[in-house]
Amino acid sequence: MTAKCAYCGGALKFDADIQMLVCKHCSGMFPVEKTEAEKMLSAPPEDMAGAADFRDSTAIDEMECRVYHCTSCGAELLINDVEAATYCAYCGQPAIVFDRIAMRRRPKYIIPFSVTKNAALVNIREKFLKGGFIPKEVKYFNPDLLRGIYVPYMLYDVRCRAKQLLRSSVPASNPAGSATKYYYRDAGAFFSEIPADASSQISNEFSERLEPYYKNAMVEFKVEYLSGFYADLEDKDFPYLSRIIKKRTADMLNEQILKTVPGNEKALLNSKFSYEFEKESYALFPVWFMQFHKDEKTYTIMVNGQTGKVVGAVPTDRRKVLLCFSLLALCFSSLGFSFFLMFWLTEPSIPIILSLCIPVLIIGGFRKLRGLNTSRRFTTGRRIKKFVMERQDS
Amino acid sequence: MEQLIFIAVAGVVFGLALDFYLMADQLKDSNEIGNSKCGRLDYMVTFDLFASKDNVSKSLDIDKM
Repeated sequence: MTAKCAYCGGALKFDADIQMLVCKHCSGMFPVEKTEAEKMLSAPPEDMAGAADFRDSTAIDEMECRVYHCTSCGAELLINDVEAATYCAYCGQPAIVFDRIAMRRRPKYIIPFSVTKNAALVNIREKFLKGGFIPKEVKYFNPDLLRGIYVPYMLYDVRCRAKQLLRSSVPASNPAGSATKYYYRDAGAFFSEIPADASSQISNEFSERLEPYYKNAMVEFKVEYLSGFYADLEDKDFPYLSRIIKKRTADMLNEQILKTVPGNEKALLNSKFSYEFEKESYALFPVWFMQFHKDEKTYTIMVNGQTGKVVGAVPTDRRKVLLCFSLLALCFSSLGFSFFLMFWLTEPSIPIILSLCIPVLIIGGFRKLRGLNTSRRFTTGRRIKKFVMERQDS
Repeated sequence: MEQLIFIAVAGVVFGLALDFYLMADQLKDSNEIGNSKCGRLDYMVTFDLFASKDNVSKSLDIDKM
């Protein structure tokens, strides 16, 4: 499983910058296609399109993974890189011994890391520096806590069809007068290689935000791409993944169907969907994970290893927020007081209308804060913390 | 006089509510990174409209269509 240098026998590591395997001992460079480990692998899987059961288990190819056993804490580790096998990722002890070779489903595709560790750091730092309410110590985080992990995704080819009853309303302010009309639509769409995150360790909400991944960089899986990175294995079953895919495809189809309906206020009244899954492929997509600690909480920031998109939520500098809020409160309340009194004497309807906007502003503000808290919950979630902590070797 | 006091208080409350909304907006912009789900329609290869009827009844049974 581990790519070794043909010159000195050292472990090779995939370099995202030059897209080649590099030996850190003798600096030898090798293209991914020409390593010894590739010859040990079985033939790549055939496309499953056209098969009676598109998830026929006989069509799923498998690969060997080395399972290590920690004599200190009893943990079992699936490891692809010989360097990582020198310590236990769970307890940090070097007391691990080779246990057995396990057969796991072999990915069909992989998007190799094209964003380097340094580029990922620059992207994160750039985003952090732009944030006006991010604490200083977070802006200048410790860059050692960055880990490249290949996240498993299942790609599906799906046909989706929907019969829908829709309503479209023209508002009363329209010169033509108000009117509510009903429409029937029967439409279908074909979705190609739509991805669903197949790791239970990362929330779908979070992994969807990492998208898009561009398929033009997707290549046939070769185990050498994993050198120097961690790879997680898929652990979500098809019923679960199909629910995610159905929701995503339905949302996209709804969006398209609504475009065919005239009017301004459009609403879906009734719908009936049918789905036909045609193909399933297993792929690994690159993600950088960066962790930092603040107020006894661990935050995880993710970076798309292909596009460099940064996803996460960071803690707030409360003193700065309080100061800003107080200053603005002083200004806005004084202005509100003056304008309301002024308008009350000249145009009394304006203060009344503006007063009606108060609940709207408060509800809108709470909604925004709730969105931020949801993102922060994903970022500080125990599961994602554990996921990355298990892969920290520093 | 009472009306004037009421309006003045409403003005202050409006200012505070506006401040709260703007601060929440700024805070979300500053501390939530990459919250958009972009590129969603990239996966849709074809879209076909098989049947389309306008001005139908509200009680239309789509199962019978």
